[in-house]
Amino acid sequence: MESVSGNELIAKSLVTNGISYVFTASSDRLTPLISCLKSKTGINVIIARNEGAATVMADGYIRRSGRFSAILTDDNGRSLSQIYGVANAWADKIPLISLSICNDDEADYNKGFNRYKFDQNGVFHEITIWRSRVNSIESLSDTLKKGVYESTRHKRGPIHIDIPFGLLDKTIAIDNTLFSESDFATKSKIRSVRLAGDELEIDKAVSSIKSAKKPLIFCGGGVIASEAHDDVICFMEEFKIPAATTMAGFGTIPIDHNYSLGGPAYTTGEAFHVAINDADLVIALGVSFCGVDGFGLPPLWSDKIKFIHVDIDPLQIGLNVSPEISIIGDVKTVINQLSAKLRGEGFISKPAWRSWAKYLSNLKKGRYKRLNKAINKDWPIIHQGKAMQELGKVIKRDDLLLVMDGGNTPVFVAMYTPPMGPRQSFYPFGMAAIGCGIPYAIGVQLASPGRRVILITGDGSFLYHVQELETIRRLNLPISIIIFNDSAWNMIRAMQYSMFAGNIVGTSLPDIDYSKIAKGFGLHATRVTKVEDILPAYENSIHSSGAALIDIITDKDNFPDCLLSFSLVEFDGLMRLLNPVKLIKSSFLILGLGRDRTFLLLSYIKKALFRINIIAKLRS
Amino acid sequence: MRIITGGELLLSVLADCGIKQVFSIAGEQLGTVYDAFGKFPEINLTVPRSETSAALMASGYSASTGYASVSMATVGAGVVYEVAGLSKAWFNYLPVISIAPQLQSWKIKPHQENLQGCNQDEIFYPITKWNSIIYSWERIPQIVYRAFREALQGIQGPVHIDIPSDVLFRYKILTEKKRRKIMPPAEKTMYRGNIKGDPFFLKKACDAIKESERPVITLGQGFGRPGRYQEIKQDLNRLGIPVITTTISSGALCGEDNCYAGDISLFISAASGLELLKRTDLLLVIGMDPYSEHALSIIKDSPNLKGVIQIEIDPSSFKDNITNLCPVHSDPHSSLSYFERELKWNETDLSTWRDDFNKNCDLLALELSKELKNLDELFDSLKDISSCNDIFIVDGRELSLAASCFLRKAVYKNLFIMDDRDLPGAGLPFALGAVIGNPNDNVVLISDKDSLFHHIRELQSAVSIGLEFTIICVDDISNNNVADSSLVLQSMGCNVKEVDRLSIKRDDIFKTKKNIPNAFILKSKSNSPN
Ligand SMILES: Cc1ncc(C[n+]2csc(CCOP(=O)(O)OP(=O)(O)O)c2C)c(N)n1
Ligand SMILES: [Mg+2]
Repeated sequence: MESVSGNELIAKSLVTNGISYVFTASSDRLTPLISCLKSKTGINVIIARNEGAATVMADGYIRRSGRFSAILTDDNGRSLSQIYGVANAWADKIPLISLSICNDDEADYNKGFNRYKFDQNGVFHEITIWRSRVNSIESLSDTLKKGVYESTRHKRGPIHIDIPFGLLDKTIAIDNTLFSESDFATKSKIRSVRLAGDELEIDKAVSSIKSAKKPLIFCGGGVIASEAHDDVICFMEEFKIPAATTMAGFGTIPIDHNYSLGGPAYTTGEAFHVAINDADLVIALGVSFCGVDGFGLPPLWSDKIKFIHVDIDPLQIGLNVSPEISIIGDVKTVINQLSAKLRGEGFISKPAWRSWAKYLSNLKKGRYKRLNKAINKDWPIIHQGKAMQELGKVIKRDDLLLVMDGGNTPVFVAMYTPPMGPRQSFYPFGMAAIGCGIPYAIGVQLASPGRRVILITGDGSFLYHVQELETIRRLNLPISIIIFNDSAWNMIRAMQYSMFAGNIVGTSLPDIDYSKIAKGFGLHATRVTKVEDILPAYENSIHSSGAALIDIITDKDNFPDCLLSFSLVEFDGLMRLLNPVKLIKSSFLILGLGRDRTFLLLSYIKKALFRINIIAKLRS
Repeated sequence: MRIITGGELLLSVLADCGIKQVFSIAGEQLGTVYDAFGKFPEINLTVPRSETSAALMASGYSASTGYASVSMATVGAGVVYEVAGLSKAWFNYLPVISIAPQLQSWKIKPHQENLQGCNQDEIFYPITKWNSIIYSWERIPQIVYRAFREALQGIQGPVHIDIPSDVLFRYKILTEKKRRKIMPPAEKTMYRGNIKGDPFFLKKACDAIKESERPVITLGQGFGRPGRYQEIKQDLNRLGIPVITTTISSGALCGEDNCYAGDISLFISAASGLELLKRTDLLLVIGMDPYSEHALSIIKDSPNLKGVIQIEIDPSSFKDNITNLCPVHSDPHSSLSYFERELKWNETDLSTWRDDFNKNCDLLALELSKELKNLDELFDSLKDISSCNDIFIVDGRELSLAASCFLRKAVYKNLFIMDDRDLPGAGLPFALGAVIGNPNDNVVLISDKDSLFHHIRELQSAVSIGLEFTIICVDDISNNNVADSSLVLQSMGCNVKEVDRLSIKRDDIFKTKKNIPNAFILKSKSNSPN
């Protein structure tokens, strides 16, 4: 038996639960706990400049490493600063361990005079999958253990624990053998729950695959969580089935793979639209059918598709699409069950599938050709796609670690991304909270020692966490920040342009030299206004030893064509409420953007939204 | 007859309610609201660089003007950023109206994995006085008026409204007849008169004050309800009872007010301070929880205390388990002016007690100044140069403590101390809200480096809008922050000067370059770099 304080107990519990990084911001009341973590455990403690940033860093660390990390904050406003970080984790199903100090008093649910007695735990209720308040020092380590377990029980997500301040310096006698190091070793990597699919359902799935004419695989974030991407690729290749990914599944199938439709979801353009309209069977792997992916429902998706839905969480089944066949299980396990069964039945592939795959592949090639041709025109101001394309030239695909932030900016990145694998690109798709780029980059970098992280961010988003440039500098992290500086909150400006007759209100930004700000923080920084300067600037930044920033002036009149698909879902049912006069005025405005831009837009409408592409069809 | 969208209807109700300022970052679902801004020149839209700051600026605006203000954030993403900022308004009892769009009404409650969808109204539940969702176009006025009532009546605080995007996007014909039905004049939607109080308790309280020889007043958040601020100040000075402020009411009184004894932190930081409080024989608690730790430090086993008078506008906050409590349900001005009239005191009646009390407070302040590194010098020089047009905002733990002591003797229009328990670093956006709300005054933010860096991006907003104010940054080198504050502030577009704290002059601070923030960096002497 050994006597320990609350602080020491928290430190020990964090270690035994496999937490290797703790992110926090400075606060006097946490000092004893922080020094305890530093002196008595091998946990890395990262101090951010504010609590919100620390939360996003912890999230970024988990996304990249697949290991646990925790965010620790003091109470009241400091605790609530976590909300946006936790919400990102919740929407993207990331098992973030969120810990806060709280008031010793019971919460006053009647909202009386003392506003500090508010229900702190309650604020986290809607954006966590489990939460608790520790009531006694005896229950502290059990609560932590339970929390970590709940965060990955089957469906993943953030959990939140409030610890009354008074418990920190209470002491308790504990049995030290409860905290064995061996525990730590096995748990340090987040374990996937390897649930096997029901044989009966597998049989049904196999026979429906065998009878399909135009099958499609659709990979979601569950493929990444289950680390099943290699297995899925084998499956695709063996049976020659084309595959698309959701936004969250970005990277699970490299875009240059023969059977890949291209970038994530609708950024793929016509190949995606044709696939989700013509396919007769979609094998959805770890997909939540969320809004950005069009819910699996009309208007983007055809309502004639049959779905095989594989997911670990039974509550996801039937949420938006109603699948013919549903399999509760881990993606990696189930996909191997499926291929074993198909192989066992001597099934190879079907000849008809080849022309289906070829057709989609032609569509993909056609779109990339069109996009590339467009960006290589002689634009007076740098095209976002060009800036993206140049990046592919300076960095090898396996070395890429890409964090995105902004509105139009990440869409451009997705459209022009160089090929790469899973856990190499990061964006909080579910909440789409802009402004988290810098702390995500920090978290991702900490999870990839010795490797450079590239952050591509919009100008509006960049400033949200600009104070964390200090953290980058203090920790001397190799991060290259690239700003697509279009002097606008451009995704919203695009909406005002195309739906409100160009009534631009509150979405213009002044011409700010962000490289100057970065220099103020002590970073290497340059401003790029000419295409030929992009490449040298990239090279300099990538070969510099620490952090660097490149402020690229880009053209605010370039709008990603695929935003059209996005608006179909986002404004579902709202379009008909819009003022028709404004809509007509808007379309004239768009025509005024020039022949090249109009051409791109019209081809998108024709090829993706109306799916007319006779040549591609003939070639297959 | 007009054809208007829900967004426009919303803005016209806000304009009717007297809203002059909205803090917001755009989002897709706010489309029609932004589209209508042009039709309301009386409403100024300020776009900060994060939604957290939007709510903090609204808090600063509200606190410094006494008016309600609006913080608008987009669905989900914007809202989750706004939460921490709105918590400041919650802890500080400020009437901030938070408005957010929701997804289409047919897609919420429950959500189906929509982009940015969450039950945001419930996130706000614990930190707002009231929250609601507007499901129909016709009810926009009714519910917005209700939100204003909830925020402004009784003990003030933030409220939140969600409006599904279809309600905001829908346009309808608003005939004159329909307008009269759904949109009554704003002034008729809220009680704006006084709450005079129950004569029985007023008289009881008055008698107790008459009896008392050593009364003390503690002032809470309730001092500053809209339009009353100056009146209450006058009442307190005429009454002449020594007044103690709390963190939240610090700044209600200043060196010009002869009744002002000091901030509560002065007393609880030293044993002799507590002793002094224990001499009190009658305590008047105005707009403050008698159960808060501050009031309790006086009430608890005070041998001389004969009674407690609680003056509060919201009767739900009277506690029945304090012995000898006289609950006065009234607004502070009404009851204080009643006391004044009934007591007919001469200036000299309480002066011996008050002077004695205040002299002791001077001693306490002197004692405390010894512990506060060199901050006393900074505040001494500020004290000498401040005027009644100045608004001070102080952020940072040690600075707050020092400020509450030293600014006792200074003259200023207003002083806001950022409570360390709320949200660290709120000072900068809060100050920007104050600058926007008080264009004719000088705003000075005094902050330590750590706090200033929390929301340092907002300097860029200040520069973009062209706001002029002063920052005094105490550069503490030891706090694990390797950035050079001068360089950072300069790179953001501020006019920066490194100064020795003894050399601050009024002309330096207020005769400045137009339309950009001026920063003074004071390198802290006591800390050596490590
Ligand atoms: C926290 C948050 N606030 C607001 C929005 C709404 N929003 C979506 S995109 C966007 C503009 C982003 O501007 P910028 O970072 O410059 O990127 P750009 O679109 O110009 O590439 C905004 C305000 C959001 N998604 N999240
Ligand atoms: Mg931009």
